[in-house]
Amino acid sequence: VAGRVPEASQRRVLDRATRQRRLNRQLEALENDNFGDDPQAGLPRPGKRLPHFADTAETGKKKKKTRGDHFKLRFRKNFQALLEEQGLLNLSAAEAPNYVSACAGPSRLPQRHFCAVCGFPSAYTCVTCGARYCSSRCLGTHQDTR
Amino acid sequence: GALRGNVPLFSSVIPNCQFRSKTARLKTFTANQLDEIKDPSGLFYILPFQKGYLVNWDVQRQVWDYLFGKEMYQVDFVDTNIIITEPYFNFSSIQESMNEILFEEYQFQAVLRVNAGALSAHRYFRDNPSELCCIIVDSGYSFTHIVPYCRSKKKKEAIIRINVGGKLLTNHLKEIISYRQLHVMDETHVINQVKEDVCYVSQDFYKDMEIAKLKGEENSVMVDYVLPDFSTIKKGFCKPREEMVLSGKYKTGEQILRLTNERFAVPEILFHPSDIGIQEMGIPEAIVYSIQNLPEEMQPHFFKNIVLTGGNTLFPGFRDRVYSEVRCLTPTDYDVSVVLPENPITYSWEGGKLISENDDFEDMVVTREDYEEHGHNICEEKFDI
Repeated sequence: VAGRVPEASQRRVLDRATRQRRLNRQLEALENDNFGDDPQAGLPRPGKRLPHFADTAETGKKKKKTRGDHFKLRFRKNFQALLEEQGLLNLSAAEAPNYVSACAGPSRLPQRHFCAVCGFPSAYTCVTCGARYCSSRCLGTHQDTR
Repeated sequence: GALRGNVPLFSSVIPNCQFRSKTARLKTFTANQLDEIKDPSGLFYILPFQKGYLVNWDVQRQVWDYLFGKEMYQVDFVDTNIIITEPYFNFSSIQESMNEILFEEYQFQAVLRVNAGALSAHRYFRDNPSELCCIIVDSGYSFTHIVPYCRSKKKKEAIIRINVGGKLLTNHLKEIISYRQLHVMDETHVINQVKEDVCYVSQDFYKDMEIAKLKGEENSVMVDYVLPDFSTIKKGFCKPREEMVLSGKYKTGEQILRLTNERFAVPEILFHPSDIGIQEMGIPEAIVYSIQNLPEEMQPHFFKNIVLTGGNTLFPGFRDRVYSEVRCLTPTDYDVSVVLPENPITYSWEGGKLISENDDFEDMVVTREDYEEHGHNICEEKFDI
């Protein structure tokens, strides 16, 4: 175990900003619907879709088809754009209660820490990156998989 | 679901998204066509929603075209009313797009847009007519909302949103399994099933942690989950206790996940989002916080009527844990009652069904004629989103 600990001069300690960035990236990753890419991503776009003859003949109603780019632009905004449009990016100007003010505040209870390797409660912190571990064995695994 | 006259025609729970499969590359599966996919490994999800809000109308319209069309419900729009739920604090541009699409594109006869919690509250008050207040906990895919209702009106100032939902729990489970045992980051569908099959809410977190550390027979928390391979094993399952090989390896060719603390540490995030670094309060704390920000004379009424809805409440032990934590945080002279309905996922739908059968339903909806005459304004006035 003594051999695993590098010299103090070789150890690169991550500062708080970097650690916070890492945590933010992890939390953002938890918001993803998917991990990999769309299976159809690389494929060429299919040719113009054949009109559904059966539908239009049956109903006889004029169904409004897509009106081209304008329609698509309006109807496919991303979340950040919606927040901006609603005027919620500037918190003081926004009228409460709103989406942002409804967000739960921090807990009054102290944060608990778990070993990054095995998930059991942890008492120790990795000096370099701040990850938690519970035993020297888990520390070893952590350093191997850094 | 739908009623014709007063006879229920059908009601089913259908995924509101599209799927793409690595094995059936050219096809996009819509909604319940999920059942047609023979090999759902590496399944790719396409949701119309982002963070719980409807942003991608292309996808939503494809789902609705399919559901309302020939292959499914064959909706006759001219004669049909629709009740549709929206998230709390829904953005005005989304609400307007919704009006346009429902009235101008699909041309429904009448529309009621409402928060899901309002339907749940209505359902609850039907069973408990003497109660005036209730607090709805809606824990779903994208987030969890705590919403107090008083006489069918939501107390907007006391709504709390916790940014933890089923999606986050599944993603977290995928990560820890991928790090500790087997790379499953692409297997959202499979691991979601694992989560639903083996996870539970612990009543005594640290005690369960101790038990999960034990070796062999004494570890009653440990479970071996057999992953589906979609040829011989169509659906994953837990190995029965008698067949578990407690020390050493399995001789059979199956892929097996050994789950110990993951079983209860994952749902624990609903109670302590700070466990993974999200600085928000958990569900019981948020319930108490929300109620305590309401007028004091109303508070006892809310504590007596806590209703749990949404998919995440299905974890075994969820209701008891919420009760015991809220009980600890509440003054002893208040009664605390936490209700978990028989089907927390369809509870709000049941509320919608009751509303549609009400005599004053006609006054609650906006008809297409109303919309054509008054536009978005009438929707904004009538609907309390």
